[in-house]
Amino acid sequence: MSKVQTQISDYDFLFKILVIGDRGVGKSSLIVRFADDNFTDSFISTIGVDFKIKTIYLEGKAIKTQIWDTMGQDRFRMGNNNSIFYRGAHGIIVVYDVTDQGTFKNVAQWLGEVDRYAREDVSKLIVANKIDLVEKRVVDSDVAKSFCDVYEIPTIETSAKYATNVDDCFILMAKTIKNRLEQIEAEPQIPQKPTPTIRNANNNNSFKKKETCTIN
Amino acid sequence: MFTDRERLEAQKIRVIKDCLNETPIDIEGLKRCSVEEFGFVNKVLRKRIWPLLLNIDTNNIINHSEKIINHKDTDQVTKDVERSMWRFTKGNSQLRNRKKPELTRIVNAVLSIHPQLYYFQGYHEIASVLLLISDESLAFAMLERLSIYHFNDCMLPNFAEVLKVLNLIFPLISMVDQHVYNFIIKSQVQPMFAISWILTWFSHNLDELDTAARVYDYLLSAHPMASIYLSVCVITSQRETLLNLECSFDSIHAFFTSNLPELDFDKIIKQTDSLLEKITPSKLQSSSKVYLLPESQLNRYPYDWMIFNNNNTTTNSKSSKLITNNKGTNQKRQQIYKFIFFILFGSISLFGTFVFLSIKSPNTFKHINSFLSPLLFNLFNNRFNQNNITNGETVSNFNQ
Repeated sequence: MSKVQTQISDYDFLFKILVIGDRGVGKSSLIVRFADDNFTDSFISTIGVDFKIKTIYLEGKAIKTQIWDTMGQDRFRMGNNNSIFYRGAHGIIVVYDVTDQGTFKNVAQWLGEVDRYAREDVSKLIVANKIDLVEKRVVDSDVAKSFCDVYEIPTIETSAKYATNVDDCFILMAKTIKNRLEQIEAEPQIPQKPTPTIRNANNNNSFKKKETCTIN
Repeated sequence: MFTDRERLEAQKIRVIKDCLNETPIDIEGLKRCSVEEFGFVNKVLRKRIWPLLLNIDTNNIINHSEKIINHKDTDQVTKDVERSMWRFTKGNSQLRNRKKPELTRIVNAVLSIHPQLYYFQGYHEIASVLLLISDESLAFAMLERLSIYHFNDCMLPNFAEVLKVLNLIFPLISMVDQHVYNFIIKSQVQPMFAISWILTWFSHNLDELDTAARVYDYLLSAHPMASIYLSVCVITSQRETLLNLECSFDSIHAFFTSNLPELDFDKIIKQTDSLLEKITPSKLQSSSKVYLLPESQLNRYPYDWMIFNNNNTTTNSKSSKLITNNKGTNQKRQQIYKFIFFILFGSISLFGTFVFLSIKSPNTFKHINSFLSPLLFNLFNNRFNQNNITNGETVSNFNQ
């Protein structure tokens, strides 16, 4: 005999944020710094997809952020099995390493993945990490800003090691998502062109507080 | 007094040493030991046995350091090694710092010697288990062997084959535990959570080197696809906890991508071996309709270098191999032989029958002769008549 339990969640919004970018740019370090306020050189490589959860409070609302950390291996990129993670994301953060020009150049490719697999209205943010390594820096701030302006994507510079702008990074993403959703709610309803069934089937469009059912 | 565990381990060590003391070494016996409780028990035995399982000629290992060049993934290897071996060298930074240059060398050496192999993140974790259990030279030789065979599909230019391997996991679960399968499918979780299990033989997910080594005891002894079966048994072994989770891909994915809890790997490995025997890799592929490439090294087990260095085994293996390789030719020859035999037998039978009759019944023979006389007479007359028509003079002479 099955038993249904009802559990009321303790948050106002649940935002799923996907963090992508080349290998070794510091994706995991950023996430652990934000979620656990911890940094260690002992991070092992991310293999596959992991996530961490942290609740933040924004303008009086409890926002539960579920942050997905991905494998940066370029050959991992080309797989349809990845697409479920993109489709489920409310926001996507692309990270590059300011000491490695190649990781900045690849941001455009990662944005291509976003366009291919993610929802059209997904919120995006580009993060320049490792700004603590001043002497090794090779990606100029102004060049990066121009690039982001062309794509109309906000950008922020961080150091996971020294926690510089790390919280700001995720708060900015959460704020962007929240504003977008509130704007959608505020707009008068207009006819929407039909979306593919598969997208509807897989989208989790429930953003607000919901009852969670567990079947035993 | 010894504890029960110590007594059992000592008993296991005796069994293992019996295999090692055989002349030639009993490799099949060792493989059976890898399934049984405690596996190969300790580091000293593993250092001896693991190279034997991979048929490494320990007297002729090349100097790998000399082979290192700048390859396409040198930078990434450096980054990954820098953040490696933390869990397996807890509290011993001296050991870790001593091993890191060794780890860098063996990984770079394999990738330098075999440029067709593509590095994947996690590769250094396989290497670190081999290195911490044996030594730099042995670890290099073993890593090279595993890279070309067991992990070859993970080192191709793309991850298409790895994704196929992952996509075999859920169909295999459906053959083992229908409840778990239904729950997993309902949640829409992807098998992506198991990718580090497949890519690193679980070493990425285990906290203790001894546990990782225990798993490697089995995977080094078994079919290269055994990691799929082990993954399934790891999943089903946690069914009680799993079925109580929220049925969503987030919660299930998170559950399995956390570090593995303390599991009874001795028990799980026995289950894995039974499952592998019951549902062969080829059967799994055909029933799930997920086929690896025909040329995949995972489809070519057992490998040709697994003809171990002893006369009896060599003879048997060679004979077996010869028969296998020439199966088509043999069949054709058999058909030819059969045909020839049939003809010869028929001929001999007819001849024998004739001889038999002539000896057994002389009267019968005479009878045949009598029967033939009129025939001969008629034939003669026919010829005579023909002559008569063409030459009348001859006829006259005969009449006179």
